[in-house]
Amino acid sequence: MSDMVTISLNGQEVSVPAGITIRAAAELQGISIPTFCYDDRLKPFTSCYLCVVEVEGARGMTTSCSTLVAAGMKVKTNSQKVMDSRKMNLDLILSDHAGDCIAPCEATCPSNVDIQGYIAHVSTGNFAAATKLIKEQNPLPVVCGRICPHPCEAQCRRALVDEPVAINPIKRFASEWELENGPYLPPCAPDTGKQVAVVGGGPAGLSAAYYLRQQGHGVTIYEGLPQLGGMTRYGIPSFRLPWDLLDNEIKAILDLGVKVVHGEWLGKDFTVESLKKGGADAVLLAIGAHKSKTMGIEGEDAQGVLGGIDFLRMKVLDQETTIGKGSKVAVIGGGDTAMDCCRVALRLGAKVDLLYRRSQEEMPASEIEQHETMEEGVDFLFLTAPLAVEKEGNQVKGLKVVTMELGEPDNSGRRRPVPVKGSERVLPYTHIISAIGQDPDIACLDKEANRPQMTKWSTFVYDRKNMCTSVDGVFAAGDCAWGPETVIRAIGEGKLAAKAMDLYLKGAEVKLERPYEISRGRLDQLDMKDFSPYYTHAPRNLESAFPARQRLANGGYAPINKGYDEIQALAEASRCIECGCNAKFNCDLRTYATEYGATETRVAGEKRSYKADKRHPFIKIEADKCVTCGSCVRVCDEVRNISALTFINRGFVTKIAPNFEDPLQTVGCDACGMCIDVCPTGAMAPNVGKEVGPWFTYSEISTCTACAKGCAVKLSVRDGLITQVNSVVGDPANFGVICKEGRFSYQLKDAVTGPASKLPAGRLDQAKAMVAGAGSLAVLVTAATTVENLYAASVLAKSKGGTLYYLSGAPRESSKKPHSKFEGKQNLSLLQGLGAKPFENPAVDLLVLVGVKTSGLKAKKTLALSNFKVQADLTLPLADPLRTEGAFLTQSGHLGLLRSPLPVSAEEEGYALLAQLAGKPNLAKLADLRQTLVAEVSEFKGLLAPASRLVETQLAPVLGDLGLDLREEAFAAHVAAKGL
Amino acid sequence: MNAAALEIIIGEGTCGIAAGAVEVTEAFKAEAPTAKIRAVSCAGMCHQEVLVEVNSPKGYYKYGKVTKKEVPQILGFLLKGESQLAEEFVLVAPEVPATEANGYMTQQTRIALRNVGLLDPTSLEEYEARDGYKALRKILGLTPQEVINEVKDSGIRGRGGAGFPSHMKWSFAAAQQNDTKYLICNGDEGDPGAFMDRSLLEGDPHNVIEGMLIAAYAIGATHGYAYIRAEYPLAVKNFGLAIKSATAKGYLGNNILGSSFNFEIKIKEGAGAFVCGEETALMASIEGERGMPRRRPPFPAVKGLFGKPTIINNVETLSNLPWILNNGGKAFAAYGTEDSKGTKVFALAGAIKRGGLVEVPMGTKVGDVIYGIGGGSASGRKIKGAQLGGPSGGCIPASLFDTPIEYAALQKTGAIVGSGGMIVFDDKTCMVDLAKFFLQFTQLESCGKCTFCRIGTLRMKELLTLISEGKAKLEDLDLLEELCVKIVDNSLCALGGTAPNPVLTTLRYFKEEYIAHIVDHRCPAGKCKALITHKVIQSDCTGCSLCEKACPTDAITGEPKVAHSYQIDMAKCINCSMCVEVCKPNCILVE
Repeated sequence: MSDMVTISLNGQEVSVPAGITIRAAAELQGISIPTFCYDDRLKPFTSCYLCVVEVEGARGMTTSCSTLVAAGMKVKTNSQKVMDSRKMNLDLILSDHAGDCIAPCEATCPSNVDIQGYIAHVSTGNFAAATKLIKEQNPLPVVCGRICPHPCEAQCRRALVDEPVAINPIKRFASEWELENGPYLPPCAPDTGKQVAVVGGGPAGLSAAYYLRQQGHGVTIYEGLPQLGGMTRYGIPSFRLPWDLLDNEIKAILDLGVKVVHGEWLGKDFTVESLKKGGADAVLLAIGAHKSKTMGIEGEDAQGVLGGIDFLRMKVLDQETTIGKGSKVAVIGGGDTAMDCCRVALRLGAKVDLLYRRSQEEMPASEIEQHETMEEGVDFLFLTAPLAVEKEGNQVKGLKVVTMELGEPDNSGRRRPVPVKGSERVLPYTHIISAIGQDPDIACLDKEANRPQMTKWSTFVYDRKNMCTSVDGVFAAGDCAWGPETVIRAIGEGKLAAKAMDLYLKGAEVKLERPYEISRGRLDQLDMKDFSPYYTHAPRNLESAFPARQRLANGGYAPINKGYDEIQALAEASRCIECGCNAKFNCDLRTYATEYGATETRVAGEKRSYKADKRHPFIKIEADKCVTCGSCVRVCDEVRNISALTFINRGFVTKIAPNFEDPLQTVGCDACGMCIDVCPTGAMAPNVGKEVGPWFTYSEISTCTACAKGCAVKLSVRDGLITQVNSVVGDPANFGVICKEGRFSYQLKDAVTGPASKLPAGRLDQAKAMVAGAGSLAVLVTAATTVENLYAASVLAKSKGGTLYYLSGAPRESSKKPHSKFEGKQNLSLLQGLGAKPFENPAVDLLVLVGVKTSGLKAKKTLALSNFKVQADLTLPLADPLRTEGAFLTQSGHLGLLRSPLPVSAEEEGYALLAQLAGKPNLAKLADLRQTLVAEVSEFKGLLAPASRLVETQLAPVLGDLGLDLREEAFAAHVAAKGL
Repeated sequence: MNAAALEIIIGEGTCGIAAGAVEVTEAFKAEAPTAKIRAVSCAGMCHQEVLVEVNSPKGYYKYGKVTKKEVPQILGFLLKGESQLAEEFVLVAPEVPATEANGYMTQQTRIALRNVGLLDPTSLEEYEARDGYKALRKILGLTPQEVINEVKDSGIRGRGGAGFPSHMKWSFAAAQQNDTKYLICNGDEGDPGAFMDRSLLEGDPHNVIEGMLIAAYAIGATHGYAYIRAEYPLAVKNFGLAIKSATAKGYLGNNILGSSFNFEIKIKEGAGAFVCGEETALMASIEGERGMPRRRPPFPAVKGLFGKPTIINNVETLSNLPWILNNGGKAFAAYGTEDSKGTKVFALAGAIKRGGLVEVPMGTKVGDVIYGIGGGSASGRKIKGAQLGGPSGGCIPASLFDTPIEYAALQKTGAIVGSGGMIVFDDKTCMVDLAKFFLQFTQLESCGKCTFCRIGTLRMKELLTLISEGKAKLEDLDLLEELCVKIVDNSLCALGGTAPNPVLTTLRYFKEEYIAHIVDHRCPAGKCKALITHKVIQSDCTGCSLCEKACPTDAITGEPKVAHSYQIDMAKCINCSMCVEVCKPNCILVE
């Protein structure tokens, strides 16, 4: 035990081991200090100055990563000066940081759906995973897939290449595919016992219910109308959004255990107060905006004047209207609701005019809606404003209108329409539908003793950082809070409200924070030159809209267009240029910037700008994301002794690049990828595309199966896919350094799809027959495979009185690459114990090859268990390396246990196949095989130990001619001394 | 008189050569082939290059600003008694009283520079004739500790900038038990306008070698490196020749002068990175790494070059050592003040009448150097202040020129002794522009390692640019100051740690100039292009047309030889002030 010294840490006397750094001492006390340039595997470099602390008596700030503690030292890790220093440090780094933390589509989406992520899933054909990912932010993707105005597409960077990615049709395809194939139900946390009343079953309320249920809270939706869906049902005609889809999607929400009370109205049947008294711990007001705005013109009270949204609702409720054949209808407005009113009135047989007071250019309805409405035969009267309703009795007879012209731009940036004098005229109409917007109907709150505060627009006063209204425990979301907007906006609001209410119900501080994000800029601030030449151009895939005649056929309520087929979806998804940072979920800079509230604008100035270097097949360098901490340079130099990377230039434009800026693979790089592991941002990244997302992944520590060295690897797993393999700091087998094979040889596809390696029917029986028919048998294995496979191979050999041979790999390369793949034969001690011999190519009837590839065999027949193609009469697929379960002796003489995060198919495991061939099916189960093995070779009793990556065995490995380098010997001694 | 009786000495340092010394030498050789012509190095009188000294039977003459045109007249006067050159060329002559110009030399006390400009740097014999290698012989009879004690008595502090007591640094290295120790001569002089190390290396290389031998002996080093900027080819050449001749003579190598002391010197040429003047970066550079500072501890004296105990001494420090050993530490300490002993070399430059190298006792007032030796303002305009210590130093106003040149006193003003840069400026210098200039330098020379230095200095420069363009807000001054403080606090080496000094000191003494730029959109010195306009005062215009010829954008038009006819087209004027430079009647108004 080393000596201890006492230091003062943030005013507290603490005793810490002498000779450690301030940073390490702080960590022992549970104080985490940020850093970019420090890594346990590297010598302190002290370049980032983020780990600074105040040490009494020291000049300036002290770098805690490299300053050793001394008795009596007074250290402050959290003083204002320290915080200010770190914040400005981050401000400076961000001022020179380029990239899009998240893709602009996601940033623009009102519900922040991980669009790049789901498109990546679609592009790899994983539609279920795509929808699961969408539903993390949006529980109504099918609805949105049909009707979302997709503001995301307007910011798609692909527009700088050719045309934006058709995001919405991709979503429509994936989510409808999922709905057809059985919707995914997310797991719900155990019941918390808390109850939430959600007033309003529209998109905001449904979204809130979906996420609240996942947190385990009880949810009851109160809906006055007969069916759920709110505006999606009552404000959008079913030819745009078919009800069966809507119903099914809502069902997938209710199936989480959401209760629904139908036909009860707030303010009539219950109050917020009564809900609270009735047991609701929190109430969400999501009542939408269902009251049509009035035009404020004379004669508006006439029979035949309708609110747009009222008209649409009447139609859904099948209420009678007088609009029909022979009616002449004027629809006032320019939004999507106006278009829908036109089209519904048209389908009732009316002749329809649309009156809009500005020109088409200013019209807010989405372009396709406008186009289709016109196509269906609605006349658009632009620059026409209503003045007064002309009546006959109390019945509409016509509309007095005036022609407008466009004047100066108003607050919205659109040119203000002004009437043209003398252009008044009367147009004959039987009905006038005013679709100029909606307001929340807040009369329902009149009875509340404690009425939440309202804005002058009849929306709730609420705070977007906590979704709270002015009344405790009452939250608001959607159109009644934000104001009337898109469905996806309401969904996003509902989701935020659920998060806020979850915090509230847990008694935590109700504060919603978004992580820091940097952006390259809005689309109009960027230059096509920087994008267009670097991608292969491909046109956008279009949804096929049916011709107007077909749309209007049979009453006109069949879907108006057809979405993508699978091929189109894959093709369109492949157009995504993946602008979101690959380190989106794993960036220290982003984490710290969020923590310290740093911004790129405080000390803004010139930025370094470099093109991404993708010349290396495995490693991508994005120098403009580099914080110049030098960790990659040092890991390559200090740890790997390769020095393929270097600093170039001086001053601000100092950057890190391969030597002489040559391609990295030509300057000595052996693709170990350690530069990726030590990079605190996304500057050094695997050179892969959409197959890895980036998605939020779960980490699993496992053992590398690329060789039998036993390196720990950190697997990033998402939806059955291994997206990345990283080293594990402090791993005793390899000092936290893995090699190219370990990092890059994992097979993304194979790991998921499995069936490719599925044993064809009858193949095993064929193999059994071969073994049974063989007079003499030999089994050839490689020493670098698992203990279980070796043992099962020996059982097979013995079962026929045959011989077990082993093939040793080539001697390992010299100490230049102490961390590279191990090609030795450390399992020899077991093999020799089992009576195995070095391979001599015997002349036998049958030679069984286990995981080896060799040529020029003397055997009459060969049977191969292998992952690679070998010359054999019969091949049985050996399980994929990363699906293997088993153990082997590591170089340090310990038993390394393989743990696979992936599902294992028993019959594909090598030992299982070997046991079956040997006629010992009782050994085909791993546990049984291990029991037998331990009974025979007692030194392997560690195999029966609970899963731990390194288990001690008594068996001394035969290290042979492995040419150990000194570090490894020293490490072995260290392990022995520590009694590990 | 016969030309053979003349000894003609021509200053052929880098500066002399640049001024045409080679041509002058050729001219003398052609005109007086029998004369004894010697090339010496630069004496430090930059303002007088090419400098020619003549020992003739008539006596000693010293001429300044000589070109090949003057050669026949000099020889005509000396050999044939024809008329002497105009007064402005004659610095010293028996028949004229000491000229004011010569006071430049006489007001100095030269210890480090004692041989510079007097001897032929390529001649070991000339160095030996001036007590060369006497100190080496002396120390071989002393113990290393006795050598350290002598240096301790001298009180000399490192002349490279930091001013750390030399003997103390040596003691750390001397105490290390190690079979290999290194002594490095730091000749990576990078401050803009500083050239004392170059002058010493090319003008008196044996003195530096002897200094290295003394230091090496004191700390027990056997290997030496002379780290010299590759931009100093003459220094590299002369120093290389000196190593060769000293080795041949047994002053370097094994068993020096028959003793058991071994020492060899290798020259390492620096590739031009300013930061390599920093000890740890310099060592990294010698080791073949990128020149980037490393964290201390470990200190070089304990674990330096290739992991061995290493002492890095500046050229000027080393150049004082032979004198100290020959004359005793106390003799050195007799110069200077309590705080700062001995003499210090300064590179005097800027808006000054007589610029060049000067060596004065510590404690001399700044003003005495500027007004006395330097002769005050070159233009006759008011001197506003001086930047001391190069880009790491600070600006002090003329009101503080009474400050004695010593470490503590200067530090109090925000300036430093540093390596000895002294740049004088008059009221035509804009302090924002000046601060920007120095910051630009350090910003470009940052090694890029530390965040604050790499990015922060650029942000400061950008803020200064905004100020100089009149686009800044007053809050930007707060941000600028905050950046200064944080960069000082959060830098690994002195480059970053001192980079904000020019800004900090100008903000301290000349804040009103910053405010004038920001609030009044006015550059008081008339320098900042975005804030000035040029106008011809037509009443004064003589119609000389020089301005028209100088104008790069043809913005000035007028009738040649017609007075009051010239005017400037503001739309075309780029405010380069070229016209101001050439205007004889001084009739272009900048405001």
